[in-house]
Amino acid sequence: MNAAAGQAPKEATLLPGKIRNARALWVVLIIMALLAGCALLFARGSMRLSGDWQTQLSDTLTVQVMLDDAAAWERDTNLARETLRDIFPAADIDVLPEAESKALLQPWLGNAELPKNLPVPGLINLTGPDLNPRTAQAALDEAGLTTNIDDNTRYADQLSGTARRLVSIGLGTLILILLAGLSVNIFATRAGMTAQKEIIRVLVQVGASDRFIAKLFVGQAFRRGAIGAIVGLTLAALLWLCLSLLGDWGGLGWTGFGAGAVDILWLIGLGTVFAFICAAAAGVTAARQLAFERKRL
Amino acid sequence: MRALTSSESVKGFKTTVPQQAQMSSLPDLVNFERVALRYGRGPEVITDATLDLPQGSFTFLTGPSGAGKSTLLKLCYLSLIPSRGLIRMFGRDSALLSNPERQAIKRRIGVVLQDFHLIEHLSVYENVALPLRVSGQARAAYNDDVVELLQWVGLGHRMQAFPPTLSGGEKQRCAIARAVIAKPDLLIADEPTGNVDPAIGRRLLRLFSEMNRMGTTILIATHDTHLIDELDARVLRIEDGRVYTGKPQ
Repeated sequence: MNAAAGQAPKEATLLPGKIRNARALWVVLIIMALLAGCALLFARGSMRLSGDWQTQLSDTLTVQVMLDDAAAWERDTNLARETLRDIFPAADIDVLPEAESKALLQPWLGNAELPKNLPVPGLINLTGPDLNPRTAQAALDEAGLTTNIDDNTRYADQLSGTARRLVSIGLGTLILILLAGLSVNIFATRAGMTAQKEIIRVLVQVGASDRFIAKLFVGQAFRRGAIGAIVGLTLAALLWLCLSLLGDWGGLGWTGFGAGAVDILWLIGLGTVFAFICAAAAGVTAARQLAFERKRL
Repeated sequence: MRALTSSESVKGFKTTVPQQAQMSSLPDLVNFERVALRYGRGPEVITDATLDLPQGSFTFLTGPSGAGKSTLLKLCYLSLIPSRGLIRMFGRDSALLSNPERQAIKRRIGVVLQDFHLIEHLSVYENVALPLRVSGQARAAYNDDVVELLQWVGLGHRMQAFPPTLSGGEKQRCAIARAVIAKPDLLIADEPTGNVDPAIGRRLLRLFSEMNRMGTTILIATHDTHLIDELDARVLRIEDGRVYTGKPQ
């Protein structure tokens, strides 16, 4: 044998590698990692969607040109369009035809006909970067037009608030799952110490310090947490990818593999945190349990 | 197991043999003063035990089953805390020891328990190396000592075997090797011959005797009077939780 030949064989782990009846614990850890991963991806997706929507809204202005006389529709809307083109040359300016503007009012009138001389406001949609509603309002006022500008601030604020709540829900769920992971590991460490009390007794007898024994459980819990995190978070990433690419889920904030790579980095970070939480729970529990047992003598 | 001769010793182990005349001047390794122990609110299982184990001594602790031999040994290797009285280990009051000091003293005590307490998923080699491993020694530093000791106790060919595959005698020798590998100052054995046949029991006794000649203080609990008769050693007797000196009548 190696030892007899003077060559030291590899050190065996002092705690048994395969713990009987630990399959249920593995399943729990994998499910927790999966849920934690989904919660993180949900929060990240919500943030990303909110950002996208806000960007889209901030790039849009809608101008209503108020008319005193229905006959002035074309003249005033053209004047407004030219005024806006002067101040926003890079913007895409789209004037809604009069018939379509009238059609927008139809739902409020039911089957009734619109009066021929009703001055329907002209609607102009602007799309482009740096659309400042104040600048537009000043220019249109100077041109002698009566206008109402909607810069979508109200919708953007509502969206922003909704997105914040969704992100908070995702992160709150993530924190709760991590706390549950902590509790599971505390319980598992206590159960493990009870199951391996004979080994602990021998270690104490040969003079092992509490720190030495606790480190054995820390190592075991870290390996357990890391493997559970790898499996669970891989499943979460695959689930997220499938949901994003298949069916009509509105993208779930998945904006392609570029953003996916950043998500994977976040998942790796979460997996590391998950494994460290498992290890920390085991270390603190083992140290406290050993101290408690010593006092109980 | 290969028989040991008095001139044999293991590399690195103590080679000085304390003489009987010198022994009386040596300090006590263990000193009990009116020690008592009760479990919970039950009756005292050890009552007013006063004893000492001088350095380099060989002592038998005997008494009927249930008299408190194992409990007294547990007090000696700091596995139990007395309900009252004073225990001095290596000159230190055990009640005043900090946790690291207690662990350091435990590393100076080798213990052989009646049911061996070997770790089943570790090989014989790993079990024997355990005290050195927990004390933080590198494997390369202790490998030769472990191999040599295992060969010395006749387990050289069973180093990679696991405890469930060992015979009672092999387990006993493995437990003893683990108890002595860290060169303890005090070796405590609880019924070390209880699970082995008389021939192996005599061999084990010779092993303890040899270790004692190399300077290790030995305390053996046994109710085997033949074992006691084979060696001219000090005898402590425990009856109804009280400790007396001398062989039972």
